[in-house]
Amino acid sequence: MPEAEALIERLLNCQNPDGGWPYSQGTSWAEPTAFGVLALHSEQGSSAISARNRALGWLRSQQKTSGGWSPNPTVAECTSATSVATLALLSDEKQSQSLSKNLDSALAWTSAQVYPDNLSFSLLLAKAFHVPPPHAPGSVAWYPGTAGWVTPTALATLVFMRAARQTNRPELRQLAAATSSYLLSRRCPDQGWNHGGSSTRSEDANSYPETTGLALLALRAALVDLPRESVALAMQFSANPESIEGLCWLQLALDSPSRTLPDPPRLPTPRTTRDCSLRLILLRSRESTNVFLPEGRQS
Amino acid sequence: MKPALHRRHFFYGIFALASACSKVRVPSPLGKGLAKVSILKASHYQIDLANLIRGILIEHQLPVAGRRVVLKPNLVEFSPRLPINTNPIFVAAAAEAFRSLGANTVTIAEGPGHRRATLDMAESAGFFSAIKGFEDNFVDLNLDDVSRVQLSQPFTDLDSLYLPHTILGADLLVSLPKMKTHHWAGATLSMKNLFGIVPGGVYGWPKNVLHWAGIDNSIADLHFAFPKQFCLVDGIEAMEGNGPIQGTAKHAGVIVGGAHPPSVDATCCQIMGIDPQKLKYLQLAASRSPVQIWQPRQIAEPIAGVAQKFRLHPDLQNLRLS
Repeated sequence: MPEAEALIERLLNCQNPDGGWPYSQGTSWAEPTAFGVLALHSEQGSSAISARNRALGWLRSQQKTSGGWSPNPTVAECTSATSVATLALLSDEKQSQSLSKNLDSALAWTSAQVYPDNLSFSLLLAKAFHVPPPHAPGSVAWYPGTAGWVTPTALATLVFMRAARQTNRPELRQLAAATSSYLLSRRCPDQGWNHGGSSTRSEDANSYPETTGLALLALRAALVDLPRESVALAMQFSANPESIEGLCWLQLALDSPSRTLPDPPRLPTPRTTRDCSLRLILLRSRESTNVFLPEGRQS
Repeated sequence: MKPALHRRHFFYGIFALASACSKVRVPSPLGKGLAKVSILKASHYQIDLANLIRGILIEHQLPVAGRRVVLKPNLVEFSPRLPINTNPIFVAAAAEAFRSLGANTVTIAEGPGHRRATLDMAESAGFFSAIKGFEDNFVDLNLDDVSRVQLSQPFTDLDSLYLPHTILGADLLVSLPKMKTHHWAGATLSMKNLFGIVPGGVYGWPKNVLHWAGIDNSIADLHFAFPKQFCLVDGIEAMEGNGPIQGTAKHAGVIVGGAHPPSVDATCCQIMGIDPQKLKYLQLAASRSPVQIWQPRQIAEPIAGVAQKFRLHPDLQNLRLS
């Protein structure tokens, strides 16, 4: 069976009766469900269309009144799972100046998670004592109120640029500029990205394939010229990406119609439903649309 | 067929007899009882570790038969070279020991703090090859279903944490850390290892809510959230210097085990040349501990027989045991 069809079948078999997806087994979680929606975005088969619609229904039913999503129905707090859920809903939205109420509130919630660039007293103190500021400007946290990190910031960047494409709202591009600046500031000495740790006591910390790929994809979406050294490192990573997630983000970031980043000799195994979705998103991006990039940035 | 009697059965018998004779809790000078901590030499991973670990469990009269046991190793990074992760041979030996004592189920579970590709890391670290059927017996705690658990008298400002069902459903949680220095907490041992049970699926990678609430206080809160624990510290190939990731290998050749995590960790600190009384999370644990943790009743090897001076991060020289 072709790889894409096998991935679709696995996804359909793992879908919960409520329409959501677990990571592997168990209850439905917002993140793998949103990735499932994005993965089935361009599928034409009736089973895939039905699965996607049921997943969208589950996602919509889980949105909180604040506009955000909690990662799982048992969790009360909204988290950065909101970004992927928002991308999933955006993929279902027609090009329009006005977004649905769900998306408007989701964007408002995500926008409020970007830490502002203000010279607060604590920031001044941090600068005086040469310690990292409590909240890096332009960063987004996984969990509200905690420090900002590379992955949630990159996902928020993708949301802002995707929504900006559909609505032409200038404030979304400004937010993406702020989050992109944070990403550029958090490169490791090897010019890639890890989770985004500060340099204190981790001066030589190495970067990871998955965060390097995702950060590059976000910067590309935000129309930032990709740092040459970072791209070179990403190319190296693609030969040994350590995980299917790492490979997919790297390929989604660096593929273009004229050049596709080859798979390594030994393809990492998709372990979770999220992995399956990411791989399917990558495969379909090579045939039609990269769901994470604004139109016109495929080349 | 009549089971064959091996030398190892004789060994278990002697161990059990010795254990029965040594079960009386000795009062400490401070009026609190003392927890038992086993210190055993283990020169390398190719010795009969399962037998050694089984001996520790018998020595501590740990009720294992019929229990749902969850082994929680320390799996942090893709690094087959550096001793960052608990050695998979050590984990396999622990699983064999618990099964041989009649555990109902033995699950291996971990939720790494920085990287999401848990199974790929486990494969890279050798878990797939060292542990038969690893994938069928492993749970990624970052992605497990969760319930909210209220913390009783927490040291942090957190009144509750979401915790994974695999851990909440265990009869016995077994912490299997790697003996390492830690550039913030001083040492990462059985108590700090519990950071890995906090789900990344809720809190993210890293689980920054714990750092934000205070590393030491969070370590103490997690300890008190799980009263049914046992600890087996992999100190055979340990880590010194800028741990827990960027340090260097240190051959310590030791396994430390016990049912009281703060006492086990205090003992490990002494082995590493770290003053346990200077680690804040141990101070917090001691303040509410029913036993006196600083000088537990150490059995088998004396500390002096295995102690090594672990290199510490330059900023943490004040932790050195004088």
